[in-house]
Amino acid sequence: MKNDNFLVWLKISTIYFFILIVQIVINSFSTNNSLLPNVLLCSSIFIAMLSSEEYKVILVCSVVTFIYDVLFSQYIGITVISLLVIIFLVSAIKIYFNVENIWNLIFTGAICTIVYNCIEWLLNNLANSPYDFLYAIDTMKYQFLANEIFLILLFCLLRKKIIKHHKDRYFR
Amino acid sequence: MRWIGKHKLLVTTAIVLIIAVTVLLSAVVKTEKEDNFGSAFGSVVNTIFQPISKATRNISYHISGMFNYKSLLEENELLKEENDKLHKQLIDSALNSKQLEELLELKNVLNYKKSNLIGEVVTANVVSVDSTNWMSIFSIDMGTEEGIEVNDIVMFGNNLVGKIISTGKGWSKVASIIDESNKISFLIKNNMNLLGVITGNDNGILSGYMVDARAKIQEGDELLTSGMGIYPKGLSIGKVSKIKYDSNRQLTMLEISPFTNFNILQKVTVVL
Repeated sequence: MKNDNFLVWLKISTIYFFILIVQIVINSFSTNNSLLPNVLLCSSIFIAMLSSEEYKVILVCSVVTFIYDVLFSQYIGITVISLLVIIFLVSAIKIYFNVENIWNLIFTGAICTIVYNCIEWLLNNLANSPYDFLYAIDTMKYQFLANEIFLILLFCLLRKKIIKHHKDRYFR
Repeated sequence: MRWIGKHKLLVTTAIVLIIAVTVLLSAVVKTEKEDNFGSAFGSVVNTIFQPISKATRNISYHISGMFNYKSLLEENELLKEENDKLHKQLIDSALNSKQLEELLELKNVLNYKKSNLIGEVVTANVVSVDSTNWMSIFSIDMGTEEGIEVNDIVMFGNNLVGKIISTGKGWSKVASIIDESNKISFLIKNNMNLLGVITGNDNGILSGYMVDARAKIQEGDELLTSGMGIYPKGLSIGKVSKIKYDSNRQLTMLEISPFTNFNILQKVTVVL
């Protein structure tokens, strides 16, 4: 039982560190983040949707996003808080939605992208950032699409893991 | 205890949220002060992850170079022309070197010390850009080991880029002038008697006002730093893109397009 628990921790940690490296590569490769998906956000939505132990996801995600904030953000803690709210939101949404349905994932992805950017803008603004809300939201439009495409790709790649009973009539 | 066991998600969220808010608040409060722990932790994290950023940045640079071959050739031609002009200027200024020597002698005799002169500089590579879509904060690969400190000025050519907001061994974070909430005073290049202040940022474009509402300025006028505050005098900021008279405040309001394109920066100069 203890060994299983350790394996779950190890699995979540490994996945999140891989995601962090992918996000670092994206941030370094592109000079404009708004055209590429936010891998940390999308993966967190995905992992929170599938995982039954969200508190473990929250703890690992917080450590990883803390490192991410140290590397990229003006103020440490903004990405941590924003993603924390998103994981909590996804945990609440999945009580009512079927996670095996792709449309629910797309809907959740849309809501989470908007909420994430709003929280990020709000916290930055409280920390004295001069940007207008409408401008911040305007820069989100391409990333909104990129995030949706990335989520659909993730769903297609991990379809067998998400849908436990493929032969169910529901998926025919 | 049983309640905590039953509500692990809620408890974890609350604990992480409290820690994150505390860290964020302390980061906001400490922003102008030296933060030894943050600096040391940043150095460790950057030592681990910066090689990935650097390698990716190099690949990206070479790939974009392949696609922008034509524009690079054009840029090369322009640089050659500029180089020729500068050679001519160099010859002219060599003729005046005698006068310069005399002036320097005079300066020593009068014991004249001018403040706000640009001191030593180091050139650093841009390693990665910030996490949000709209801000223009980026990291560079040099830090305290080169003598870089918080509030040091960052330039690209003679254009003002921004200032260092945090630094550690082998890394620094730069906030561009459009990310700053600080006011920057400026002069109009064509008429150095006209003073104005950059007050903020609307949709990625700087905005400001002229101190003298009757100042005669026009679109396309170049702006230079005035030397007041942390920025030395004479650095190019941008050009006036829009002029509007605000009758309520009785001020001539300006929209300013920065000269530096923060999205394509590869190398920057830090003034120590």
